[in-house]
Amino acid sequence: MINDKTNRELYEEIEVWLSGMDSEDREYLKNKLNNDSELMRQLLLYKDVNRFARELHEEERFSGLLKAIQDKKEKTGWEKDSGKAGKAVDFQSLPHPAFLERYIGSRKVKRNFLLRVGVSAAAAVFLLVVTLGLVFYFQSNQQTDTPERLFAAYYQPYQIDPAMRSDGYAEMEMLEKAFSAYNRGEFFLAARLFEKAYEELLPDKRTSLKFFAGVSYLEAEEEAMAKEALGEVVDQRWSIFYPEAKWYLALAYLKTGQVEKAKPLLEELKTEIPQYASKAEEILDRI
Amino acid sequence: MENQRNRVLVAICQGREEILEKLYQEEFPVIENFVIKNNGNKEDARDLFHDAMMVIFQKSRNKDFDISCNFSTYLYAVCKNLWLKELRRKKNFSDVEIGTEIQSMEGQEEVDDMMPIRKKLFLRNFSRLSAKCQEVLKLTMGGMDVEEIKSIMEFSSLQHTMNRKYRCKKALMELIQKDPGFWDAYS
Repeated sequence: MINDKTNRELYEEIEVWLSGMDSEDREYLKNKLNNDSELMRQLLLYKDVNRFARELHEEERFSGLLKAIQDKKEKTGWEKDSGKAGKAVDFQSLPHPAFLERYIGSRKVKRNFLLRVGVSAAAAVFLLVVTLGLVFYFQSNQQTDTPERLFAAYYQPYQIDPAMRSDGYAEMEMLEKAFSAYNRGEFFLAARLFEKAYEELLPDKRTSLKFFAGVSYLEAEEEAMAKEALGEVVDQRWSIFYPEAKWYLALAYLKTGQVEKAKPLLEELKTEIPQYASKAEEILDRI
Repeated sequence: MENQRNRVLVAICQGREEILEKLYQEEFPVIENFVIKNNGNKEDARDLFHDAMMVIFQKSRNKDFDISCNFSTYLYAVCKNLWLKELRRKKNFSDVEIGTEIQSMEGQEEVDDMMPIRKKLFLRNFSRLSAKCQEVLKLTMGGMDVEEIKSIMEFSSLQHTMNRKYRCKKALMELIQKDPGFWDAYS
């Protein structure tokens, strides 16, 4: 049995290949598959997962369509129609196919639910706003909170500036794939690609890539690796991502319940870095 | 005859609503009559018809799938096969009187046994995912974009939606690889 790390590396390679395979990559993959039965197994599994999930979706959509027809027949009096082959069909009474197409894929999302949603959307929105308002009110008035809840309240995924992609990085294919993976939400893959690019770039850009890897790990819920990568950036005070790295490192510590490690970072953010000062102060008040 | 048969299969495969309704109108009374004569009721007939159509839908996706009789005969045979399975499953099976027509179906290939081993492995582990993860994966592979999935699943942001999609697929891959049946299915 292969270990988790090997699994991840294989999965990552498959993702890279399938996300944008040119002829050179394809040839490389073909050769590699011939010599690597484990990779072959992983590739087959990846493709199967995609295919079977798509089939399930189609089956549920078809099942929803059949049920809609059965329901319609029950409502309009199936008994009267029995045996009368060729009777004209009242299409007007059926849900519009596009409507079904959009929603019927889910077992949970039943037709009557959809109708209910349609009728009571305004009420639902109103209730949501009131509920969120109450939640926000109680949260903002709490004197103390758990570190995990503070993390959830203050964490916002880092948005990589698209301008970065044309700032001397774009020539690197691997980096393009890393940005692309991040934008697709494939965060673990993105982190690994940023790390690889980090190894191959000139020193003046290395801490930026380490920072990107750190926030990608954090999004992928790999907190240990996130803390390690972000910690390296925080050690480089001259890095342009020093403030952001310190903020996300503090949040990473909160997420893993390490309040004592988060506190000094938040104190520094409060006094040294205006853009994070007020948020850091709020968190310190609530810890 | 062959053209008509193929047309019905294609219509089923495409989920053509008007053909399905016509089919239901013409075929259901026959199936209902069969079920009621064999220890079932109207509700059983509804479920049976639905399940049989699902079996045919799944089979019709295979481009090599073909039937040698007319569609009505084939549907009737699938229904009889499934109904026999259902009767066997019932606890009071010994009290159920099985007609000679049904008995003649015994020995035929079971529908479930035709499911590929890899799909069984997938379904077993897919069912172990959270309900939200299952929905996210189905919607993703059903061709919906992230914006639509966010809206349907009521997720807070696109970023969160993409993150869920990634984590769910990763979780499923890991579950399948830890399943004792993995090595048999993929060796």
